[in-house]
Amino acid sequence: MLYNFAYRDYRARYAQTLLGYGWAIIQPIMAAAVLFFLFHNLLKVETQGVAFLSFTFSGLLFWNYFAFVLSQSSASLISAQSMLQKIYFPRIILPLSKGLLGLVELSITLVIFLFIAFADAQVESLGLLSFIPLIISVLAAAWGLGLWLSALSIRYRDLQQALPFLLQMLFFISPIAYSPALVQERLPESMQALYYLNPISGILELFRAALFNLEYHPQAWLSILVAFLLFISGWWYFHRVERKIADLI
Amino acid sequence: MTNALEIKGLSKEYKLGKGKSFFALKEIDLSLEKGKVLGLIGHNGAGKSTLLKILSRITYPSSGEIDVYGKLSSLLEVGTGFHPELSGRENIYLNGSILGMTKSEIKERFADIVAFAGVEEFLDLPVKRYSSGMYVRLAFAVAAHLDAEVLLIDEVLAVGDAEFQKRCLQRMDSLSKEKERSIVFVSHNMSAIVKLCDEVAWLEKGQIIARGAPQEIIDQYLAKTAELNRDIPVHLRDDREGDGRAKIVDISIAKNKIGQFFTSGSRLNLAVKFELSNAKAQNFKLELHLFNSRGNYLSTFSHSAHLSGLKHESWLCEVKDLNLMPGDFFFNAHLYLDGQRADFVGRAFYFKVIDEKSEDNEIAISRQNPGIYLLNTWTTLKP
Repeated sequence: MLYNFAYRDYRARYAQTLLGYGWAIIQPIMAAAVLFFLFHNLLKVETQGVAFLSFTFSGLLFWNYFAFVLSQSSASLISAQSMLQKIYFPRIILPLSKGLLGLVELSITLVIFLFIAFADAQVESLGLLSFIPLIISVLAAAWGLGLWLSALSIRYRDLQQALPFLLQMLFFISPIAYSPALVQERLPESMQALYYLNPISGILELFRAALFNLEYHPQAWLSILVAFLLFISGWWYFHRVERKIADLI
Repeated sequence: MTNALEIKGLSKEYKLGKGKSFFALKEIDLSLEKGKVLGLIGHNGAGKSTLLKILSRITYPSSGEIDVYGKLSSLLEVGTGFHPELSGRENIYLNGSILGMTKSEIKERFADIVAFAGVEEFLDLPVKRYSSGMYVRLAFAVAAHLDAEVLLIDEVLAVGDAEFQKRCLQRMDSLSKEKERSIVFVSHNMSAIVKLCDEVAWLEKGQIIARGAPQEIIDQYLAKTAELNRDIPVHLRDDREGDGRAKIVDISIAKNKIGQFFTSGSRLNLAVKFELSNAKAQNFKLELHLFNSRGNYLSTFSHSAHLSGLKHESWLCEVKDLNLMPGDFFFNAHLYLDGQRADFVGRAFYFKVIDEKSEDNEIAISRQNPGIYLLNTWTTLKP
């Protein structure tokens, strides 16, 4: 059923579009180009000694999937209102199916990333294996937040207004197009752990460490813990309000 | 004799804020025997849909107990869960799965579903290109092949043409009789209820006020309804259905008569007026469905035309020869804009037919089920 819901969205997403999958290719490339110009040419930020494009694209790879799953799953209940009032099915399938849907664009971005990384940087091929557990961690974080937000936005619709803004903030405070050291250098020792409360920070750092053979902060693992805590708490909260969904929405 | 469904002390309370609350359902006790069809009737807002929603687990009761023996599926609205961009084929699989069928079950019944809906040639077309009739048929076909032990069906017969409605009823009938499926059926269509149901429960203000043999309960219900709606002018009625793009604001007798009495065979001139909202539409279709006091359908007067573009449309319907037997009659008024129902008022207009010959009056009154006079002549046949 999870697959069926994802397939339904997938077909709808690409129906009657001119470029179809083209969008999945154009979007990250355009984003990388803009970031290249801003952060590399103008601001000349440091990227842990890795070629800028590979570095940034590895960030976008995770970020785009995270942002997609989070924004889609948060809106999933509200946009399926009529269905929720007329058909019974396990409600949690709606937000969860968005994780599956995001895989389409994720795999396209992954292919582009591999081309760039192998052409542009020193890559540890074995380090690529870390992609699987780390993308699962990102999914856990996106699902977790998505479950929280979708369940909360039944009562508080303003969350849907706040989400694009929150995502934008999160994009800038996450080390996507710059080295995490830029932020960490300015934080006192006792605050270092705080930086990894943002799951994207630690997960990206771990992936880059494995792929480009870099050092990583010992507390980066905290991000993975946070990701799964978000997922478990989101699941718990969603089930708590599940029964009231049709009445409140 | 085993039960398929048991409901004990079921209540649903909605909080309205400021410490006030409202009971959509109050202390409902019901049971449904295996292989039987239970009809639920009642006015809009009586709690029928809430009850079905609770049984389908869409919403949850505030208190009470429900036991369902076997799998339960529901069709509360035709076509929810259909995605307009997807083809008929894809929607069958998708909708089937959402409604609880496994992939292999759908595969097995695919041909039956398609044949029932009669959409063979359009299977690979997105359903947004379907006519509204095809859309409804396909949606019902999927639900009709669910094969759950308990099936809940809400007012789906309000859509679709007469031929298809007949097939839906037959399908439900055979599901219950041949396959021992139990059905809870909500409808405002009393003749469908009588045909299909083994038992009827009448819900009013969240409570079951009567339960028993279909015809008996329906007669009580219709008598009550007639009393309630009789004196409310059409424009004040708020128990409407339809998408609200237009509103029927007046149905009245034009020209020749004062009062709502007619003699059999006289002329009936009805003026119908409706008001359009700002929605854009090209054509309209007005349908007046004629019923006798017992709620049996007799005939339809309908008219379609282009909209004039004005805020109000007024039309006159003339019936030259009102060949009705003496008794009470009423019209249900339907208004469609571009093929979609914009407004519906049940029992929108009442009138009474009397006959000059008093013995005919007596026959009609004693039968309470007046019909139509058809012209007939008799001659002796030579042996």
